[in-house]
This record gives sequence, structure tokens and C-alpha cells, in this order.
Amino acid sequence: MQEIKNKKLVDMRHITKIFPGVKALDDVSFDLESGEVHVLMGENGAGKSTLMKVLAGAYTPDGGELFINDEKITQFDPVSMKNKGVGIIYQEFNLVPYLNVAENIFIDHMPKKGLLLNKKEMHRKASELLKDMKMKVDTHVLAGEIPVAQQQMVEVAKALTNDIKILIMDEPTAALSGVEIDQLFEIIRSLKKRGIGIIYISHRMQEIPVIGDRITIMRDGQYIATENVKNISNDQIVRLMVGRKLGDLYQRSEHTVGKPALKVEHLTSKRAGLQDVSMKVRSGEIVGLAGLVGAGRTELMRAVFHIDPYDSGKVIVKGEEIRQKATVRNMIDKGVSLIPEDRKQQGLSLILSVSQNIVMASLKKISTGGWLQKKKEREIVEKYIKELNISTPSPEQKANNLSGGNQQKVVLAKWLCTEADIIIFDEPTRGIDVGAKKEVYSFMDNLAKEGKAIVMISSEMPEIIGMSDRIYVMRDRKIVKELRGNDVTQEMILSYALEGARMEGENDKN
Amino acid sequence: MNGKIKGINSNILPAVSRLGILFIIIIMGCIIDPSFLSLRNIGNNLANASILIILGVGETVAIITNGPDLSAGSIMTMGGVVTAILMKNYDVHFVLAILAGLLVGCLLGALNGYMIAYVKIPAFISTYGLQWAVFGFAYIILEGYVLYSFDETFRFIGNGWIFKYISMTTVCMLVIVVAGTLLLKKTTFGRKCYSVGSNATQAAMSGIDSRRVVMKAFIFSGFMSAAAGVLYVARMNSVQSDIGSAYLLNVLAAVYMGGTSASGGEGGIPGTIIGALAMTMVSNCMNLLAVPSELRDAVIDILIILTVLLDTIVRKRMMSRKVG
Amino acid sequence: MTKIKKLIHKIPLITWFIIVLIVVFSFRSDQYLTYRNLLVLLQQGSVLLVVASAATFVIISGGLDLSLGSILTVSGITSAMAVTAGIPIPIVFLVGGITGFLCGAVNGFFISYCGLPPFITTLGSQGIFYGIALLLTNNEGIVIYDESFLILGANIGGMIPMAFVCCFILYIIMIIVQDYTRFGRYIYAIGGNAEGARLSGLRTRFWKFFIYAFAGMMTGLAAVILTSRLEVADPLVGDRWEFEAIACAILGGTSMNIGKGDVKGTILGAALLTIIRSGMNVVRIPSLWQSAILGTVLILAIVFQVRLSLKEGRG
Repeated sequence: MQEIKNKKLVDMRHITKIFPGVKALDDVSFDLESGEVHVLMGENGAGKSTLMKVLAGAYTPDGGELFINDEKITQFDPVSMKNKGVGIIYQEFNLVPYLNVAENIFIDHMPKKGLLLNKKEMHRKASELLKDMKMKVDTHVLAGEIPVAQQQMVEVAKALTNDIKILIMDEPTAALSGVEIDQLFEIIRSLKKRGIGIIYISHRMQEIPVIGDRITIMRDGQYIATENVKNISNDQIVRLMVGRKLGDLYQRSEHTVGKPALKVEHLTSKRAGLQDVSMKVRSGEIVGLAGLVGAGRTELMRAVFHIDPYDSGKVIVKGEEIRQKATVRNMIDKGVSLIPEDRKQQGLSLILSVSQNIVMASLKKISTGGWLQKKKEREIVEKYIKELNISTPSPEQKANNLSGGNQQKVVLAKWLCTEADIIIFDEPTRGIDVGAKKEVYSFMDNLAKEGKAIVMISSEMPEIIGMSDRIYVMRDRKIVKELRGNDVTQEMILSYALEGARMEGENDKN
Repeated sequence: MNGKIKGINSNILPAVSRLGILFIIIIMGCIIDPSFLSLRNIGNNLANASILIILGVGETVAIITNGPDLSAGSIMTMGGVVTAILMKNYDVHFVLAILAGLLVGCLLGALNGYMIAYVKIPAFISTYGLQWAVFGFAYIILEGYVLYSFDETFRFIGNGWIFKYISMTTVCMLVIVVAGTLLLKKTTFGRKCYSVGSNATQAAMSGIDSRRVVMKAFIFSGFMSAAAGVLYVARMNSVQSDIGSAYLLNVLAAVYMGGTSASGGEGGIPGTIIGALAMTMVSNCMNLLAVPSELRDAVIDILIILTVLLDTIVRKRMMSRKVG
Repeated sequence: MTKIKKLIHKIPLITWFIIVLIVVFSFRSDQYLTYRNLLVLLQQGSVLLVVASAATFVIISGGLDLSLGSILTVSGITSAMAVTAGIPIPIVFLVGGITGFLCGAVNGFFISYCGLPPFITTLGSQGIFYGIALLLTNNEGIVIYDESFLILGANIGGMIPMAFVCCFILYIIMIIVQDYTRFGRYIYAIGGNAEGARLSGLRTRFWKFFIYAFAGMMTGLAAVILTSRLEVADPLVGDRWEFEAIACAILGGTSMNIGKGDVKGTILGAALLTIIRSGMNVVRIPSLWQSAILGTVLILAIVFQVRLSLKEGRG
């Protein structure tokens, strides 16, 4: 064991990657030895995925050197990296829905006999592979028809079909339950024995001591530290990840909590899987909505905002019950805003100007009888550009040409412009730099002070703890716990967000 | 690069390059024929361009909001045919006949809108399919004949000249252009068109009912196509069942050349006017050069592909530029 | 179980339509259900089947080809020119296939390597190919006199149309390509998750290009058969074929933009279209009306089919 462990498989030196407006990787070094699990940690937007995409050949770095097995890499594309023995399981799924499981596993090298596919061979090999992983999946079923957890395992199988020496796993347990996680760890251990080096990206603290050997921490696109897992505590990891005391970033000023502004009662939606969800938010209050990816937080808020339909339950805004058939327009008119998570897809029109984007949800306000009042528009837009400190050469600039943080501020401006009293933030600081984050937080604080009711969905624990008056924890599309007070810890939230999932996994088995 | 053009409004550059193209075509025309820039020829070109511009106004709105209206040529035909047959065979007063033609255009546009917005068939398939049916019905209505020689007053709309060099068609075109530009730039509906076309998900999250917007955009496009057909009949004083088929490629070329993005959400009527003028002059040049008729479509097609290709490249450059 | 359920789900609607139409038409004319009429149907439908299958490939991959009709025309003309020049039949097929391949390659180049939208590219190339066709023929059809070539349009032993046999072979080849080759599977990968496929190491750009070239090639081969059946290569013969081909694909259950579809279903679409077309003569719809009616029926059928698959997707 010891002798193969010392062989250096990957050596990344001073890697830099620049996206328009953002330095995603700034002089990052990283290495991987054979037979180890090297955990890579950092907040969202710290640059972990970007670094791994460089290693997998999806991105070409703008600076620095990459060695695989002591060989310098000059050609960055998925095919040649794969030939060097790099396998990657991406966070987002890369399966083809209308190909079956076996075809997906062998997507880039389906066995052939002459010109034609050797389907028998392909299915045999695929089932063998899945059996080795203790998976029971019919390889003839279309990949789009199996549950998400099984899709994740198929992704793993897909990576294993190649002669890999390096395996990158980007949050592989995000969609898995307890039993499946144990299965996955079992697979990882057997890979280690074969001398394969594994880079493991995860947000789940409790997984690190179980599976990791070394840990590297990144923050804001920079390398922070590498440690042996045994020599570092969770607290130290969190501190390195955040890089500052929580209090520095999250400032809450004195505020008074008023009457309930938004109440959700027994909301149930078959389509979104929501079961009997009840919650309430008072004016002047910031309520955090915590949970793992897929816990149903976004789905809940989409249903509340009437983007997606729900089957039963009540949504009550400022004491008035909203019709089940109401539209998004109605909700906006009632004073509710939802600031979506994916700003490029859902928040903005990148090819439209800053000005057009800001007034998009409040066209009524800048028009009379369907005619736009340009003067009014300009006044409003300039007010918000100033108020939010949006850095743009002119209101006519296309949103696409702004940096991520400024784009996010345009989205905020768009939803503040509707003058809503209830504002729902979905991952408000994802992918923006620390400076912009701080501005967003102080803005939320101001809104609460003004008496607005705020819901914040966030996967960043420090953020949710630092900003919220109360926290609802969601798991499996239900609210499982309401937490309040100053002594809420990450561990408490995680235990509610996770623990049950584990128990249910066991229940399934029985 | 980044610093130099930082302050310039990013919409201006493509517009300037488009005027450049128009300029090159004009120079080429002058080389081919010295009288190219005579008042008479300009007036003629304007009149010829007018029908194309009117079609282009509708097409621009459709493309900005959702996708191309490939049935524009056929709806144009139908609008002209309905107006003509009502006047000729049923002695309907020309005003009523025109209204009927425009109404048919709106109805066909609504059919397009229904298929695209509510059934979710991509615009380039549903409108492409619809055009065959519409051309077929136009043929049935005319029973294969050509109708000609209409009421004098009616013909004045298309054929009259005021101040010697300005045709009535041009006047109609100007009215429609102003109306269309106001609609796109000065109304909430226009704003919604850009919103839906640039990012439908975002529009839905902003409380915009994109289905209704798309529906209205295609009704508008159908109306404009029919209007172009009516003017065509008035101008040419005759109608047959394929008058619109030659216009489809031209109008697409005009709109794309005018800088309206094929992927929606970007562009406008001023650009389309430049594009339509350019296309008309290209036709003028092809006439002067006696390009065989069977090659003309091919030339226009090559122009379409080249403009869109150029546009794709320019847009990629622009999109990767960051400021602030 | 699910497979059988799916089959039952999938087959009825369009097949019921086909059966109902056949019953109606055979009541209207006792000539309809005769062997002779069946031969005519097979002859008429078989070329459409190949072109529609080519369109199916393109649509599964998330694209669109509006130039297939013009490719059919150009390839028909080059192969007719080859016949007139006295070139043996196998080489004529080669000429037709290569012409189609090159045309498709032009589409594929602009769409895959330059990133142009498929509908603009193929609408544009449609006009260019027609222009080439008109140039090559001087605006007149090329009439074919070579008896040996016309055999392709005849019936084997007076029983089975040769055109049908050839087209059916091409169709079987396309089914095999779709189901049993890597290329065939890549079509689904590109249509269903192109970025995922790229990250998994597929050369998606090349394969996307190749899909158009392949569709062009099959259309070119079909053109040879069509030419021999019509005994003339006409510069306008391909008019509207592209839409009918797309309609057949959609009626056969191929969906746009989600990487779902199957050339095996396309045969139902082609059958329905051919039966409607032949039936219009049976029920004596004047030829003046036929184009409008066929267009309307196809549009309605597409609306119906797409609504149906949307419903299925939700349930």
C-alpha cells in the first residue's frame, strides 16, 4: 500500500483561469497521489469545479502547468485527457435520456463487431460492472427512466469503463441516500486499493473523515491550504473555507418583527413532491430555508410564487388568501417577489440592457395605458443603479457585459423595482465574489429594517446562520424543523437536513 | 480593445457596419449603372422596397418575439387574393374588401400563434407547413386564374404618385413603419416581445404571459403580411396565387441583414428598413446585370447565409466583451 | 411490461387512422383494395419513406433540414446526367449518393462548425441547390431513355415494384444504422444531451456535421430511384418534399428538441401520408384542391400528434 501511494499522478502548478470579468482560478496548485482520496473543499464559487474541469479537459487554463504522470499536458480537451486516464463524474448529469443504461455507460466506446455494435457484449459488460458495484439495474432501460440516485451510480460506472488512473467526483453524494452513499464509499475503497487516485468534492463535512486522506481548501478562486484529514478539525476547515469570522460578513441591525406577511398552509404538490408544507414569514424578519440540494426548497418557493401549480393548501399574503389559479403576475401585484437562483437563465435577459432588465417586472409602473414613459423609466433605473451601486458605463449597457456580481445586483434591482413587501431570495450569493456578497447582505438587512418580509434559500450554512432570524430546515420535500436563536450551528442544521434521509434509506431496505 | 469601446453603446457598432453594407451596394449599383442614384430610380426602388418593408415590419416582430414567420409570403398572397376576389367577383366596396383581406391575415396569424404558443410546435415547422396549405387555398379561390384591372380608387393606394417622386405605396409604408416602431419601442407590448424573445423563462418569472405575447406577435405579423398583399395588388393591378412566394426569402434576408437576431430578442425595424433597401437594390443590380432568373433566389440565399454567418461571428465577439 | 404498454400506447393512434382511412377509401372505390393499387401505393410511398427517415435522423439530433427536397432534386439531376452519359447503374447510385452527401455536408458545415441555426442554413441552401439544379438543366427536365436504367422503376416479375425493393433496402439500412451502429446511437446523444456527450468524449461537432451529410446521402440515393420511376429528372421535382418528410417523422412519433424518435415509426407517417394522397383521388377531390387539403391535413395531424406527446410527457 505504502509504496504505490507515493506515486504522484497529478501535479497542477499555478493554474490560472480567467472568465470574462472573473478570475475563476488564481494561481492554484494541487496534486494527487495514487491510491488516495484527496478531498477538495470550498464554498460555492470557490473554484473547485473550474479546477476539475481544467483537469478533465473541459477548460483550457490561461496560465500555469499541468503534469499527469510526470508528463506535461499541452492539449486540453476531454478526449485526450481521458486517454491520459482522467475520469470525471460531473455534478450535473451527462446521461443521454433516450439511450439505455448500457449505451450510456459505454457512450464513447461501445463494443463493436465489425461495423455493427455488439449489443450482447455491451449489456454483458455493463451488467457485470453494475453487479460489481452491487447495483440492480436493468441495462436495457432508458437512462431517463431510472431514479436520480441510480443515474448517479450509472455515471460512476461510466467513468469506470475506461482505464482510469484518476477519478474526479464532483459532489457524488448530493442525490444519494444513506444506503447508496455507503455503497459508493465501498466502491471508492476498492478503487483506492487498485491504486487509483480520487479527487472528491463535497459539502458534507461528516463524509471527510470517513472517506478522505488529504484535504485541500480553496476560497475565492485561490489555493488556501492542504492538510492530512486526520490533522484537521471541522472547525478549522470551516474557518479556512470562510477565511474570516462570520460576524465580519453578516451584519444584522436592530429590527422589529411585525405581523405575518406570508403564510403557507398545508401546501401539497404531487408534481413537485411537496407534502403538507406550512410556514410563515413576518414583516421585518429574515427567514432562512436550509436543506440539501433537492430537498425541495426551490420547488416550494416556485409553488408559492405560482410559477408551478400545486394541488392543495393555502398561500396567504398579508392576510389575503391567494387563488390557487393565480398567476405570477397576480403575485407580483400582491407584492411578492422571487429572486431566482439561476440569474442567467431565470433572472435576466443577457442580451437586453440593464435598464430594460430592471423594469421588466414592473412595466405597469413605467407606463400609462400601455405606452412606456421613458422619463419615468430613466428616473427609476438611475435610482436603483445608484442605490445598489451597480457598476455599469450606462443604463443602456447589455447585462451580459457586466460582471457576475453586478448582474446579480441588476436582478435585485429588478425585483426591488416592483416594491414588493415579501421578497424571496433563492441562493442570492451564488457565484459572486466576497465584496458583492457583503453588499447583498447589507442590502437584505436594510430591507428587513424597512419592514419587508424576507425568505432566503441558501446552501451556504454560514450565510444562512449569519443572516436569518429563524431557519426552516427542509428534507425530502418537507419542512422537518424550525430553528431559532443565536446558538444554531451548522451541525444542527445538517443533522436535520441529513439524518432523516439516512433513516429513510434504512427504512426502504426493510 | 476593452478600454477603447467601453463607453460606446454596444448596439451602435453592428448598425454602423450594416449601413456600410448598404453603402457598398449603392456604390456597386452606381458602377453598374450611372443613373442608379437618379431621383426616378430612387423613387422606384423605394416603392419596390415598400412592400418588402411592410412584410419586414411584421416579420421583425415575429422573429424578435419567437421565431420566423415562414408563412409570411403565403399570408401576403391570401390577403391580396381575398381582397381582389371580393372586389372583382362579388362587387364588394374596396374598403370592405381590404378589411376582409386584413382580417384573414390576422386569422391566419392567430393560427400560427396558436400552434407555436399553445401547442408548442417550433415556429419554423408550423409556419413552414401552414404556407403550403395557404398557397393551396389561394390557388383554389382563384381557380388558377389571374385577376386584373381593379377599381381606380383602389389602385391609387398602390399606384398613385404624389409630388411626382413619392408613391402612395411609400406613404403607406411610412405610416406602417412609424406605427411598428412605436409599437416595439414605446409600448409595454413591444417591451414584452423583446423580453419573451430574449429569454422566455426570465419573462415568465417576471410575470409576463409569453403565450399571449407570442400570439399577438404572430397576429401582428399576419396582419402586416396581408397588408403587403393588398398593396401589392393595388400596385400591380393584378393577382395570382403565387405572388408572395418570391417575397419570403427576400424578407428574411432583409430582416437578418437588418441585424435582427435569429435567436430572438434583438433587433428592430430601422435595421429591417436598411436590409429591405439593400435587398431591393440587390434585385435592381441583378436586373441591370441581367442575372438569369433561376439564379436570383440562389444569390439571395447566399446573402442570407453570409449575413447570418457574419452576425454569428460578430455576436460571439460582442458577447465575450465585458465591462464594469 | 412497460415495453408492451408503450407499444400499445404508441401504435394505435396513427395505425387506427390508417385503418379507418383504408376502410373509408375502399368503400368509396372497389378499385382501392386491389393488388394493382397496392403496387402504386408502394411505389409512391417508398421514396418518401427514405427521405422521411433521413429527416427523422436530423430531427432526433435536435436539428432540421428544409433542404432535403432540393437535395432530392439536385441528386436526381446529376444521376440522370450520369445515365445519359452511359454510366452503369451501380455508379449512377454512387453519383446520386455523393451529390447528396456533398449537399448535406454543406449544411452540416455551416450548422455544426459555424454555429448557424439549422432552419436558416437549410432554407438558404434549399434555394442554392435549386439554383444549381436549374443551372445544370437549363430549366428543363432531363428525360431518360436508357432502358436498362428504367428497370429500377419496373416491377419484378410484374409483382413487386423494384423501386419499393430498393427503397426498402435503404430503409432497413437506416434502421440498422440507427440501432446497431455507434453513429446511430450518437444521434440520440447529440439530440438528448449534446454537452454531456461532448464532456463524455464524443466528437459531437463532427457527428453533428455527419448527420446532415448522411441524411443528404440517403436522400441522394432515393433520388436515383425516384428518377428512374419518373423517367425524368425535373428541376422542381423536390418541391415540398422536405415538409412532407418532416411531417412523416413527427407523425411517426419523433419529437423535436428532446432527442427522442425512431425511424421505425416513420414508416407509419409515410404510410398515412401516401394513403391520404392516394385517397384524395379515390374520393374524387379535384386536383386543384389536393395540395391545400394535404397541407391542411398534415398541419392538423402535427398539431394533434404534438399535443398528444405533450400530454404523455406530463402524465
